[in-house]
Amino acid sequence: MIRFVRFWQNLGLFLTQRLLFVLLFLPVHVIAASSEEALQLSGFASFGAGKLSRDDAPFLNYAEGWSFRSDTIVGGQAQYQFTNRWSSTIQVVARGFTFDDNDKFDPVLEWLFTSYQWSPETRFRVGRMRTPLYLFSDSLEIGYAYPWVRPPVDIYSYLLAPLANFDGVDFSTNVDFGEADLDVQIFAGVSRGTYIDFDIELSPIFGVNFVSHWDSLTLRYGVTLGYTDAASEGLSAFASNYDFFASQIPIFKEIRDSHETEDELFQYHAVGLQWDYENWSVISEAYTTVGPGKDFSNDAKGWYVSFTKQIQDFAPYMVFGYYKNEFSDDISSLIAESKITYPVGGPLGPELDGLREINLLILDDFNEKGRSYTVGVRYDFRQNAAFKVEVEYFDSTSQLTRAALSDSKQDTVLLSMVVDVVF
Amino acid sequence: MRNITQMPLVKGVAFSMVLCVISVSCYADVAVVVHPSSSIESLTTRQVKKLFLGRLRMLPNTGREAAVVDQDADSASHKLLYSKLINMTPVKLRRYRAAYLFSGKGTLPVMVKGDEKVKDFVADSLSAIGYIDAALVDDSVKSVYLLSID
Repeated sequence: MIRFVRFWQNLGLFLTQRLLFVLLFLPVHVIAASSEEALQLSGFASFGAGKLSRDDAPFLNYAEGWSFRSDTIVGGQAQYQFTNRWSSTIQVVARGFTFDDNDKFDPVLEWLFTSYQWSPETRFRVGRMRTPLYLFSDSLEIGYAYPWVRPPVDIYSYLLAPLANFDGVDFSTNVDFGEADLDVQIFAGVSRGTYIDFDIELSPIFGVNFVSHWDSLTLRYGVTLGYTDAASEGLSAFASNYDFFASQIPIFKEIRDSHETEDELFQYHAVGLQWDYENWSVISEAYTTVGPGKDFSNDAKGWYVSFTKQIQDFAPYMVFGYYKNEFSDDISSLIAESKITYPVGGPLGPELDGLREINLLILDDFNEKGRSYTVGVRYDFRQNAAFKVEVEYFDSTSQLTRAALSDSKQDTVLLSMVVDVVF
Repeated sequence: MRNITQMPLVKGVAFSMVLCVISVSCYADVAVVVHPSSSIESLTTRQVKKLFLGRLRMLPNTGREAAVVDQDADSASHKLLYSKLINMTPVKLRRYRAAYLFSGKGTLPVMVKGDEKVKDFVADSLSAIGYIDAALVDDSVKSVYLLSID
Protein backbone atom coordinates (compact mmCIF):
# COMPACT_ATOMS: atom_id res chain seq x y z
CA MET A 1 0.00 0.00 0.00
CA ILE A 2 2.75 2.44 0.98
CA ARG A 3 4.66 1.54 -2.14
CA PHE A 4 1.55 2.21 -4.18
CA VAL A 5 1.14 5.66 -2.65
CA ARG A 6 4.83 6.43 -3.23
CA PHE A 7 4.40 5.53 -6.86
CA TRP A 8 1.66 8.11 -7.30
CA GLN A 9 3.60 10.74 -5.37
CA ASN A 10 6.67 10.20 -7.51
CA LEU A 11 4.56 10.27 -10.62
CA GLY A 12 3.07 13.59 -9.53
CA LEU A 13 6.51 15.06 -8.93
CA PHE A 14 7.80 13.67 -12.22
CA LEU A 15 4.91 15.23 -14.12
CA THR A 16 5.28 18.64 -12.46
CA GLN A 17 8.98 18.72 -13.28
CA ARG A 18 8.24 17.89 -16.92
CA LEU A 19 5.54 20.54 -16.89
CA LEU A 20 8.14 23.16 -15.98
CA PHE A 21 9.94 22.64 -19.27
CA VAL A 22 6.74 22.77 -21.27
CA LEU A 23 5.68 26.00 -19.55
CA LEU A 24 8.99 27.71 -20.08
CA PHE A 25 8.69 27.28 -23.81
CA LEU A 26 5.18 28.63 -24.10
CA PRO A 27 4.71 31.95 -25.88
CA VAL A 28 5.79 34.70 -23.53
CA HIS A 29 2.94 37.11 -24.06
CA VAL A 30 0.31 35.07 -22.31
CA ILE A 31 0.37 37.09 -19.13
CA ALA A 32 0.58 40.42 -20.94
CA ALA A 33 -3.06 40.31 -21.98
CA SER A 34 -5.87 37.98 -22.72
CA SER A 35 -8.05 37.42 -25.73
CA GLU A 36 -11.59 38.54 -26.32
CA GLU A 37 -13.30 35.23 -25.62
CA ALA A 38 -15.95 34.84 -22.91
CA LEU A 39 -14.02 31.86 -21.51
CA GLN A 40 -10.52 32.62 -20.28
CA LEU A 41 -8.09 29.90 -19.25
CA SER A 42 -4.87 30.56 -17.44
CA GLY A 43 -2.48 28.89 -15.05
CA PHE A 44 0.49 29.27 -12.79
CA ALA A 45 3.17 27.03 -11.34
CA SER A 46 6.12 27.14 -9.00
CA PHE A 47 8.89 24.57 -8.97
CA GLY A 48 10.84 24.71 -5.75
CA ALA A 49 13.93 23.07 -4.34
CA GLY A 50 15.51 23.42 -0.95
CA LYS A 51 17.64 21.96 1.79
CA LEU A 52 17.80 22.57 5.51
CA SER A 53 20.85 22.70 7.77
CA ARG A 54 19.43 20.01 10.07
CA ASP A 55 17.30 16.91 9.96
CA ASP A 56 15.59 16.98 13.36
CA ALA A 57 13.17 19.88 12.73
CA PRO A 58 11.76 19.49 9.27
CA PHE A 59 10.66 23.04 8.48
CA LEU A 60 7.95 22.90 5.79
CA ASN A 61 9.07 19.30 5.32
CA TYR A 62 12.54 20.33 4.13
CA ALA A 63 15.44 18.28 5.48
CA GLU A 64 19.18 18.03 5.06
CA GLY A 65 19.00 16.51 1.60
CA TRP A 66 17.65 18.43 -1.36
CA SER A 67 13.94 18.08 -1.78
CA PHE A 68 11.68 19.37 -4.48
CA ARG A 69 8.17 19.27 -3.13
CA SER A 70 7.55 21.83 -0.40
CA ASP A 71 7.37 24.92 -2.60
CA THR A 72 6.13 23.14 -5.70
CA ILE A 73 2.62 23.98 -6.79
CA VAL A 74 0.54 23.96 -9.98
CA GLY A 75 -2.74 25.77 -10.52
CA GLY A 76 -5.28 26.30 -13.26
CA GLN A 77 -8.02 28.87 -13.58
CA ALA A 78 -11.06 29.38 -15.77
CA GLN A 79 -13.11 32.58 -15.89
CA TYR A 80 -16.38 32.81 -17.73
CA GLN A 81 -18.22 36.02 -18.51
CA PHE A 82 -21.92 35.15 -18.79
CA THR A 83 -23.29 38.60 -19.45
CA ASN A 84 -22.19 42.17 -19.07
CA ARG A 85 -22.36 41.97 -15.27
CA TRP A 86 -22.26 38.28 -14.34
CA SER A 87 -19.13 36.14 -14.34
CA SER A 88 -17.75 33.00 -12.68
CA THR A 89 -14.26 31.98 -11.67
CA ILE A 90 -12.88 28.59 -10.74
CA GLN A 91 -9.35 27.84 -9.59
CA VAL A 92 -7.85 24.46 -8.79
CA VAL A 93 -4.46 24.06 -7.12
CA ALA A 94 -2.23 21.01 -6.57
CA ARG A 95 0.52 21.24 -3.96
CA GLY A 96 3.57 19.25 -3.02
CA PHE A 97 3.25 20.26 0.63
CA THR A 98 0.36 21.23 2.87
CA PHE A 99 -0.28 21.40 6.59
CA ASP A 100 -3.11 18.90 6.33
CA ASP A 101 -1.13 16.04 4.82
CA ASN A 102 -2.53 16.50 1.35
CA ASP A 103 0.88 16.68 -0.28
CA LYS A 104 0.37 14.25 -3.08
CA PHE A 105 -0.45 16.91 -5.64
CA ASP A 106 -4.14 16.12 -5.25
CA PRO A 107 -6.03 19.00 -6.87
CA VAL A 108 -7.96 21.19 -4.42
CA LEU A 109 -10.75 23.61 -5.27
CA GLU A 110 -9.45 26.97 -4.05
CA TRP A 111 -11.84 29.41 -5.67
CA LEU A 112 -15.29 28.93 -7.11
CA PHE A 113 -17.46 32.00 -7.15
CA THR A 114 -19.98 33.89 -9.18
CA SER A 115 -19.65 37.62 -9.29
CA TYR A 116 -22.16 40.36 -10.00
CA GLN A 117 -20.88 43.78 -10.97
CA TRP A 118 -23.42 46.17 -9.46
CA SER A 119 -21.75 49.44 -10.49
CA PRO A 120 -18.30 50.51 -11.72
CA GLU A 121 -17.06 50.43 -8.12
CA THR A 122 -19.17 47.79 -6.45
CA ARG A 123 -19.61 44.06 -6.79
CA PHE A 124 -21.01 41.06 -4.96
CA ARG A 125 -19.64 37.55 -4.96
CA VAL A 126 -20.94 34.25 -3.72
CA GLY A 127 -19.06 30.96 -3.47
CA ARG A 128 -15.66 29.85 -2.24
CA MET A 129 -13.19 32.69 -1.89
CA ARG A 130 -9.91 33.55 -0.21
CA THR A 131 -10.19 34.73 3.39
CA PRO A 132 -8.70 38.25 3.32
CA LEU A 133 -6.40 37.81 6.31
CA TYR A 134 -3.31 39.46 4.84
CA LEU A 135 -1.98 41.76 2.14
CA PHE A 136 -1.06 38.85 -0.13
CA SER A 137 -3.91 36.51 0.83
CA ASP A 138 -5.45 36.80 -2.61
CA SER A 139 -2.32 35.71 -4.44
CA LEU A 140 -0.75 33.33 -1.92
CA GLU A 141 0.13 30.65 -4.43
CA ILE A 142 1.16 33.00 -7.21
CA GLY A 143 4.91 33.09 -6.62
CA TYR A 144 5.32 35.19 -9.75
CA ALA A 145 3.34 38.00 -8.10
CA TYR A 146 5.50 38.52 -5.01
CA PRO A 147 9.23 39.15 -4.45
CA TRP A 148 10.14 36.14 -2.29
CA VAL A 149 10.35 32.36 -2.66
CA ARG A 150 7.28 32.20 -0.38
CA PRO A 151 5.38 34.79 1.68
CA PRO A 152 7.18 35.45 5.00
CA VAL A 153 6.47 32.51 7.28
CA ASP A 154 6.33 34.64 10.40
CA ILE A 155 2.81 35.58 9.55
CA TYR A 156 1.79 33.55 6.50
CA SER A 157 2.43 30.11 7.79
CA TYR A 158 0.29 28.09 10.10
CA LEU A 159 -2.50 30.47 10.91
CA LEU A 160 -3.51 30.83 7.33
CA ALA A 161 -3.31 27.22 6.33
CA PRO A 162 -6.65 25.96 7.67
CA LEU A 163 -8.52 29.25 7.21
CA ALA A 164 -7.27 30.17 3.76
CA ASN A 165 -10.70 29.91 2.16
CA PHE A 166 -14.26 30.50 3.21
CA ASP A 167 -17.57 29.60 1.65
CA GLY A 168 -19.94 32.52 1.69
CA VAL A 169 -20.58 35.96 0.29
CA ASP A 170 -18.68 39.18 -0.04
CA PHE A 171 -19.31 42.77 -1.00
CA SER A 172 -16.58 45.07 -2.23
CA THR A 173 -16.55 48.67 -3.26
CA ASN A 174 -14.11 51.48 -3.95
CA VAL A 175 -14.44 54.97 -2.53
CA ASP A 176 -12.51 57.80 -4.19
CA PHE A 177 -11.06 60.72 -2.23
CA GLY A 178 -9.37 62.55 -5.08
CA GLU A 179 -5.70 61.75 -4.56
CA ALA A 180 -6.35 58.61 -2.53
CA ASP A 181 -8.93 55.87 -2.63
CA LEU A 182 -10.16 53.09 -0.42
CA ASP A 183 -11.19 49.53 -1.23
CA VAL A 184 -13.67 48.13 1.27
CA GLN A 185 -14.51 44.44 1.40
CA ILE A 186 -17.07 42.92 3.77
CA PHE A 187 -17.43 39.16 3.92
CA ALA A 188 -19.22 36.40 5.81
CA GLY A 189 -19.37 32.63 5.59
CA VAL A 190 -17.92 29.47 7.05
CA SER A 191 -14.36 28.21 6.95
CA ARG A 192 -12.91 24.87 7.89
CA GLY A 193 -9.58 23.16 7.60
CA THR A 194 -6.96 20.98 9.19
CA TYR A 195 -3.60 21.95 10.62
CA ILE A 196 -1.53 18.86 11.37
CA ASP A 197 -4.03 16.95 13.52
CA PHE A 198 -6.16 19.94 14.52
CA ASP A 199 -9.57 20.14 12.91
CA ILE A 200 -10.64 23.75 12.91
CA GLU A 201 -13.97 25.19 11.93
CA LEU A 202 -15.02 28.83 11.98
CA SER A 203 -18.75 29.16 11.75
CA PRO A 204 -19.57 31.86 11.11
CA ILE A 205 -16.49 33.75 9.99
CA PHE A 206 -16.91 37.38 9.01
CA GLY A 207 -14.90 40.53 8.70
CA VAL A 208 -13.98 43.68 6.91
CA ASN A 209 -10.90 44.59 4.98
CA PHE A 210 -9.74 48.13 4.06
CA VAL A 211 -7.04 48.80 1.49
CA SER A 212 -6.10 52.36 0.67
CA HIS A 213 -3.98 53.45 -2.27
CA TRP A 214 -2.35 56.85 -2.27
CA ASP A 215 0.24 57.48 -4.95
CA SER A 216 2.87 54.76 -4.41
CA LEU A 217 1.69 53.91 -0.91
CA THR A 218 -0.71 51.08 -0.07
CA LEU A 219 -2.08 50.72 3.45
CA ARG A 220 -4.24 47.90 4.74
CA TYR A 221 -6.21 47.02 7.85
CA GLY A 222 -8.31 43.90 8.15
CA VAL A 223 -10.27 42.35 10.97
CA THR A 224 -11.72 38.86 10.88
CA LEU A 225 -13.93 37.36 13.56
CA GLY A 226 -14.70 33.69 13.82
CA TYR A 227 -16.67 31.49 16.19
CA THR A 228 -14.23 28.65 16.40
CA ASP A 229 -14.41 24.92 17.06
CA ALA A 230 -10.98 23.32 17.36
CA ALA A 231 -9.98 19.84 18.40
CA SER A 232 -6.93 17.69 17.99
CA GLU A 233 -7.17 13.93 17.80
CA GLY A 234 -3.91 13.49 19.69
CA LEU A 235 -4.72 16.00 22.37
CA SER A 236 -8.25 14.68 22.93
CA ALA A 237 -6.83 11.17 23.24
CA PHE A 238 -4.40 12.46 25.85
CA ALA A 239 -7.17 14.30 27.73
CA SER A 240 -9.21 11.10 27.91
CA ASN A 241 -6.64 9.87 30.46
CA TYR A 242 -8.56 12.09 32.87
CA ASP A 243 -11.79 10.17 32.23
CA PHE A 244 -11.70 8.20 35.47
CA PHE A 245 -11.00 11.27 37.63
CA ALA A 246 -13.42 13.38 35.61
CA SER A 247 -16.26 10.98 36.34
CA GLN A 248 -15.76 11.56 40.09
CA ILE A 249 -14.48 15.10 40.50
CA PRO A 250 -15.73 18.20 38.63
CA ILE A 251 -12.36 19.98 38.33
CA PHE A 252 -10.85 17.09 36.39
CA LYS A 253 -13.82 17.10 34.06
CA GLU A 254 -13.14 20.77 33.51
CA ILE A 255 -9.45 20.11 32.79
CA ARG A 256 -10.31 17.33 30.37
CA ASP A 257 -12.93 19.33 28.50
CA SER A 258 -10.63 22.35 28.23
CA HIS A 259 -8.51 20.48 25.71
CA GLU A 260 -11.05 21.34 23.03
CA THR A 261 -12.50 24.64 21.92
CA GLU A 262 -16.15 24.98 21.12
CA ASP A 263 -17.82 28.03 19.65
CA GLU A 264 -15.30 30.50 21.05
CA LEU A 265 -14.76 33.89 19.46
CA PHE A 266 -11.33 34.49 17.94
CA GLN A 267 -10.28 37.81 16.42
CA TYR A 268 -7.59 38.33 13.80
CA HIS A 269 -6.33 41.86 13.25
CA ALA A 270 -3.76 42.67 10.60
CA VAL A 271 -2.15 45.82 9.24
CA GLY A 272 -0.04 46.06 6.11
CA LEU A 273 1.95 48.59 4.18
CA GLN A 274 3.56 48.65 0.78
CA TRP A 275 5.61 51.61 -0.38
CA ASP A 276 7.22 51.81 -3.79
CA TYR A 277 9.75 54.59 -4.11
CA GLU A 278 11.64 54.71 -7.39
CA ASN A 279 13.28 51.28 -7.59
CA TRP A 280 12.84 50.54 -3.92
CA SER A 281 9.95 48.69 -2.41
CA VAL A 282 9.17 48.29 1.26
CA ILE A 283 6.55 45.80 2.38
CA SER A 284 5.59 45.25 5.99
CA GLU A 285 2.76 43.50 7.81
CA ALA A 286 1.84 42.69 11.38
CA TYR A 287 -0.97 40.67 12.87
CA THR A 288 -2.35 39.74 16.22
CA THR A 289 -4.73 36.96 17.13
CA VAL A 290 -6.88 37.42 20.18
CA GLY A 291 -8.38 34.23 21.55
CA PRO A 292 -11.04 33.89 24.21
CA GLY A 293 -8.29 33.38 26.82
CA LYS A 294 -9.76 30.14 28.08
CA ASP A 295 -9.94 26.48 27.14
CA PHE A 296 -7.74 25.45 24.32
CA SER A 297 -6.85 28.81 22.81
CA ASN A 298 -3.94 31.01 22.03
CA ASP A 299 -2.89 34.59 21.46
CA ALA A 300 -0.43 34.95 18.61
CA LYS A 301 1.31 37.83 16.95
CA GLY A 302 3.89 38.35 14.26
CA TRP A 303 5.37 40.85 11.86
CA TYR A 304 7.83 41.17 9.02
CA VAL A 305 9.45 43.92 7.04
CA SER A 306 10.86 43.39 3.57
CA PHE A 307 13.09 45.58 1.39
CA THR A 308 13.51 45.06 -2.33
CA LYS A 309 15.42 46.96 -4.95
CA GLN A 310 14.71 46.43 -8.64
CA ILE A 311 17.87 46.57 -10.76
CA GLN A 312 16.73 45.87 -14.31
CA ASP A 313 15.61 42.23 -14.27
CA PHE A 314 17.13 41.51 -10.86
CA ALA A 315 15.52 42.26 -7.54
CA PRO A 316 17.57 41.51 -4.42
CA TYR A 317 15.59 41.43 -1.18
CA MET A 318 15.92 41.23 2.60
CA VAL A 319 13.25 40.18 5.09
CA PHE A 320 13.16 40.34 8.88
CA GLY A 321 10.39 38.60 10.76
CA TYR A 322 9.17 37.67 14.22
CA TYR A 323 6.29 35.71 15.68
CA LYS A 324 5.12 34.68 19.10
CA ASN A 325 2.47 32.23 20.18
CA GLU A 326 1.17 32.29 23.74
CA PHE A 327 -1.05 29.51 24.80
CA SER A 328 -3.93 30.24 27.15
CA ASP A 329 -2.96 29.52 30.74
CA ASP A 330 -6.49 28.33 31.48
CA ILE A 331 -5.61 24.65 31.70
CA SER A 332 -2.40 25.22 33.68
CA SER A 333 -4.30 27.38 36.20
CA LEU A 334 -6.91 24.63 36.55
CA ILE A 335 -4.15 22.08 37.15
CA ALA A 336 -2.58 24.36 39.78
CA GLU A 337 -6.00 24.76 41.38
CA SER A 338 -6.56 21.00 41.44
CA LYS A 339 -3.25 20.56 43.26
CA ILE A 340 -4.60 22.55 46.21
CA THR A 341 -7.46 20.15 46.89
CA TYR A 342 -5.76 17.05 45.49
CA PRO A 343 -2.06 17.57 46.26
CA VAL A 344 0.85 15.77 44.63
CA GLY A 345 1.52 12.53 46.47
CA GLY A 346 -2.08 12.49 47.67
CA PRO A 347 -4.56 9.62 47.89
CA LEU A 348 -5.51 9.76 44.17
CA GLY A 349 -2.20 8.14 43.38
CA PRO A 350 0.96 8.75 41.33
CA GLU A 351 -0.92 8.19 38.07
CA LEU A 352 -2.70 11.52 38.44
CA ASP A 353 0.50 13.29 39.43
CA GLY A 354 2.27 12.01 36.33
CA LEU A 355 -0.66 12.94 34.13
CA ARG A 356 -0.72 16.51 35.42
CA GLU A 357 3.05 16.92 34.89
CA ILE A 358 2.94 15.59 31.33
CA ASN A 359 -0.03 17.82 30.65
CA LEU A 360 1.91 20.93 31.70
CA LEU A 361 4.81 19.93 29.44
CA ILE A 362 2.50 19.43 26.46
CA LEU A 363 0.92 22.83 27.01
CA ASP A 364 4.31 24.48 27.21
CA ASP A 365 5.10 23.07 23.77
CA PHE A 366 2.59 25.46 22.31
CA ASN A 367 4.29 28.51 23.77
CA GLU A 368 6.99 29.72 21.48
CA LYS A 369 8.53 32.56 19.61
CA GLY A 370 10.96 32.91 16.77
CA ARG A 371 12.80 35.27 14.50
CA SER A 372 13.78 34.90 10.87
CA TYR A 373 16.22 36.69 8.58
CA THR A 374 16.16 36.19 4.85
CA VAL A 375 18.26 37.41 1.93
CA GLY A 376 17.56 36.51 -1.65
CA VAL A 377 17.29 37.65 -5.22
CA ARG A 378 14.64 37.41 -7.88
CA TYR A 379 15.57 37.29 -11.56
CA ASP A 380 12.89 37.82 -14.20
CA PHE A 381 14.47 35.75 -16.95
CA ARG A 382 11.40 35.64 -19.15
CA GLN A 383 8.30 37.76 -19.44
CA ASN A 384 6.25 35.06 -17.76
CA ALA A 385 8.85 33.44 -15.53
CA ALA A 386 11.07 34.35 -12.61
CA PHE A 387 13.82 32.52 -10.76
CA LYS A 388 14.43 33.19 -7.07
CA VAL A 389 17.04 31.95 -4.65
CA GLU A 390 17.17 32.76 -0.95
CA VAL A 391 18.81 31.88 2.34
CA GLU A 392 16.67 32.05 5.46
CA TYR A 393 17.88 31.80 9.03
CA PHE A 394 15.54 30.98 11.95
CA ASP A 395 16.17 30.63 15.63
CA SER A 396 13.11 28.45 16.15
CA THR A 397 11.03 26.28 13.91
CA SER A 398 8.76 24.16 16.02
CA GLN A 399 5.26 25.44 15.38
CA LEU A 400 5.98 26.02 11.72
CA THR A 401 6.74 22.40 11.16
CA ARG A 402 4.67 19.33 11.43
CA ALA A 403 6.76 18.09 14.32
CA ALA A 404 5.93 19.90 17.52
CA LEU A 405 9.38 20.13 19.05
CA SER A 406 9.46 22.13 22.21
CA ASP A 407 12.13 24.71 22.91
CA SER A 408 13.99 23.98 19.71
CA LYS A 409 15.99 27.15 20.16
CA GLN A 410 18.60 26.11 17.70
CA ASP A 411 19.86 27.74 14.59
CA THR A 412 18.33 26.57 11.38
CA VAL A 413 19.25 27.67 7.88
CA LEU A 414 17.12 26.99 4.82
CA LEU A 415 18.49 27.38 1.31
CA SER A 416 15.73 27.40 -1.27
CA MET A 417 15.10 28.31 -4.87
CA VAL A 418 12.07 28.39 -7.07
CA VAL A 419 11.03 28.99 -10.66
CA ASP A 420 7.65 30.73 -10.89
CA VAL A 421 5.69 30.68 -14.11
CA VAL A 422 2.37 32.13 -15.22
CA PHE A 423 0.71 31.00 -18.41
CA MET B 1 -13.34 73.99 -37.43
CA ARG B 2 -10.91 71.18 -37.92
CA ASN B 3 -8.57 70.45 -35.07
CA ILE B 4 -5.61 68.19 -34.90
CA THR B 5 -7.63 65.19 -33.87
CA GLN B 6 -9.52 65.35 -37.15
CA MET B 7 -6.50 65.60 -39.40
CA PRO B 8 -6.33 62.96 -42.09
CA LEU B 9 -4.33 59.92 -41.18
CA VAL B 10 -1.42 60.46 -43.55
CA LYS B 11 -0.91 64.00 -42.34
CA GLY B 12 -1.07 62.81 -38.75
CA VAL B 13 1.64 60.24 -39.28
CA ALA B 14 3.81 62.72 -41.14
CA PHE B 15 3.26 65.23 -38.35
CA SER B 16 4.30 62.80 -35.64
CA MET B 17 7.35 61.81 -37.67
CA VAL B 18 8.41 65.43 -37.86
CA LEU B 19 7.94 65.65 -34.09
CA CYS B 20 10.13 62.61 -33.80
CA VAL B 21 13.00 64.28 -35.55
CA ILE B 22 12.83 67.54 -33.65
CA SER B 23 12.05 66.21 -30.17
CA VAL B 24 14.50 64.28 -28.02
CA SER B 25 12.28 61.25 -27.68
CA CYS B 26 10.26 59.59 -30.38
CA TYR B 27 7.09 59.49 -28.33
CA ALA B 28 3.95 61.20 -29.51
CA ASP B 29 1.03 62.21 -27.32
CA VAL B 30 -1.27 59.36 -26.40
CA ALA B 31 -5.05 59.58 -26.57
CA VAL B 32 -7.39 57.32 -24.63
CA VAL B 33 -10.22 56.44 -26.98
CA VAL B 34 -13.73 54.99 -26.84
CA HIS B 35 -16.49 54.32 -29.36
CA PRO B 36 -17.65 57.57 -31.04
CA SER B 37 -21.24 57.14 -29.82
CA SER B 38 -20.21 56.37 -26.23
CA SER B 39 -21.85 58.58 -23.62
CA ILE B 40 -18.43 59.30 -22.09
CA GLU B 41 -17.17 62.76 -22.97
CA SER B 42 -14.00 62.83 -20.89
CA LEU B 43 -12.27 60.83 -18.16
CA THR B 44 -10.18 62.00 -15.24
CA THR B 45 -6.58 60.88 -14.79
CA ARG B 46 -7.63 58.66 -11.90
CA GLN B 47 -10.40 57.05 -13.89
CA VAL B 48 -7.97 56.24 -16.70
CA LYS B 49 -5.44 54.80 -14.24
CA LYS B 50 -8.06 52.68 -12.52
CA LEU B 51 -9.53 51.44 -15.80
CA PHE B 52 -6.18 50.25 -17.12
CA LEU B 53 -5.33 48.64 -13.78
CA GLY B 54 -8.70 46.89 -13.68
CA ARG B 55 -9.74 48.67 -10.51
CA LEU B 56 -12.74 50.21 -12.27
CA ARG B 57 -14.44 47.37 -14.10
CA MET B 58 -17.17 49.34 -15.85
CA LEU B 59 -17.01 52.39 -18.07
CA PRO B 60 -18.28 55.36 -16.04
CA ASN B 61 -21.87 56.45 -16.84
CA THR B 62 -22.46 53.65 -19.32
CA GLY B 63 -23.53 50.59 -17.33
CA ARG B 64 -21.13 48.57 -19.47
CA GLU B 65 -18.37 46.24 -18.39
CA ALA B 66 -15.17 47.82 -19.67
CA ALA B 67 -13.41 45.91 -22.44
CA VAL B 68 -9.95 47.35 -21.86
CA VAL B 69 -7.64 47.14 -24.86
CA ASP B 70 -3.92 46.99 -24.26
CA GLN B 71 -1.00 47.18 -26.65
CA ASP B 72 2.28 45.37 -26.87
CA ALA B 73 4.71 46.35 -24.10
CA ASP B 74 7.24 47.35 -26.77
CA SER B 75 4.95 49.86 -28.45
CA ALA B 76 5.59 53.58 -28.00
CA SER B 77 2.03 54.24 -26.81
CA HIS B 78 2.23 51.50 -24.18
CA LYS B 79 5.55 52.74 -22.88
CA LEU B 80 4.28 56.29 -22.56
CA LEU B 81 0.98 55.40 -20.91
CA TYR B 82 2.43 53.05 -18.31
CA SER B 83 5.58 55.01 -17.52
CA LYS B 84 4.12 58.53 -17.45
CA LEU B 85 0.55 58.03 -16.33
CA ILE B 86 0.22 54.74 -14.51
CA ASN B 87 3.75 54.89 -13.18
CA MET B 88 4.66 51.23 -13.49
CA THR B 89 7.72 49.61 -14.99
CA PRO B 90 7.15 46.62 -17.30
CA VAL B 91 8.34 44.19 -14.60
CA LYS B 92 6.02 45.68 -11.99
CA LEU B 93 3.10 45.71 -14.39
CA ARG B 94 3.52 42.00 -15.18
CA ARG B 95 3.56 41.13 -11.46
CA TYR B 96 0.55 43.30 -10.84
CA ARG B 97 -1.34 41.65 -13.70
CA ALA B 98 -0.45 38.15 -12.48
CA ALA B 99 -1.69 38.96 -8.98
CA TYR B 100 -4.82 40.55 -10.42
CA LEU B 101 -5.65 37.65 -12.71
CA PHE B 102 -5.22 34.86 -10.17
CA SER B 103 -6.83 36.59 -7.23
CA GLY B 104 -10.27 36.52 -8.74
CA LYS B 105 -10.41 40.25 -9.36
CA GLY B 106 -11.23 40.01 -13.04
CA THR B 107 -9.90 39.34 -16.49
CA LEU B 108 -6.89 40.98 -18.09
CA PRO B 109 -7.12 43.56 -20.88
CA VAL B 110 -7.55 42.36 -24.43
CA MET B 111 -4.27 42.41 -26.33
CA VAL B 112 -4.36 44.16 -29.69
CA LYS B 113 -1.26 44.91 -31.73
CA GLY B 114 -0.76 48.38 -33.16
CA ASP B 115 -2.62 51.69 -32.98
CA GLU B 116 -4.61 51.00 -36.16
CA LYS B 117 -5.95 47.69 -34.89
CA VAL B 118 -6.84 49.27 -31.54
CA LYS B 119 -8.80 51.89 -33.44
CA ASP B 120 -10.66 49.19 -35.39
CA PHE B 121 -11.42 47.33 -32.17
CA VAL B 122 -12.69 50.41 -30.34
CA ALA B 123 -14.71 51.57 -33.36
CA ASP B 124 -16.46 48.20 -33.22
CA SER B 125 -17.47 48.01 -29.57
CA LEU B 126 -19.37 50.30 -27.23
CA SER B 127 -17.64 48.64 -24.26
CA ALA B 128 -14.11 49.11 -25.50
CA ILE B 129 -11.54 51.54 -24.21
CA GLY B 130 -8.04 51.75 -25.65
CA TYR B 131 -5.17 54.13 -26.24
CA ILE B 132 -3.41 55.20 -29.42
CA ASP B 133 -1.01 57.78 -30.76
CA ALA B 134 -3.02 61.01 -30.47
CA ALA B 135 -2.12 61.98 -34.02
CA LEU B 136 -4.08 58.99 -35.31
CA VAL B 137 -7.40 59.92 -33.71
CA ASP B 138 -10.14 60.37 -36.34
CA ASP B 139 -13.94 60.10 -36.61
CA SER B 140 -13.96 56.35 -36.01
CA VAL B 141 -13.10 56.81 -32.30
CA LYS B 142 -13.63 59.44 -29.60
CA SER B 143 -10.72 60.79 -27.58
CA VAL B 144 -11.70 61.09 -23.91
CA TYR B 145 -8.30 61.74 -22.36
CA LEU B 146 -5.08 63.17 -23.73
CA LEU B 147 -1.67 62.37 -22.25
CA SER B 148 0.92 64.91 -23.39
CA ILE B 149 4.61 64.20 -23.29
CA ASP B 150 5.67 67.47 -21.70
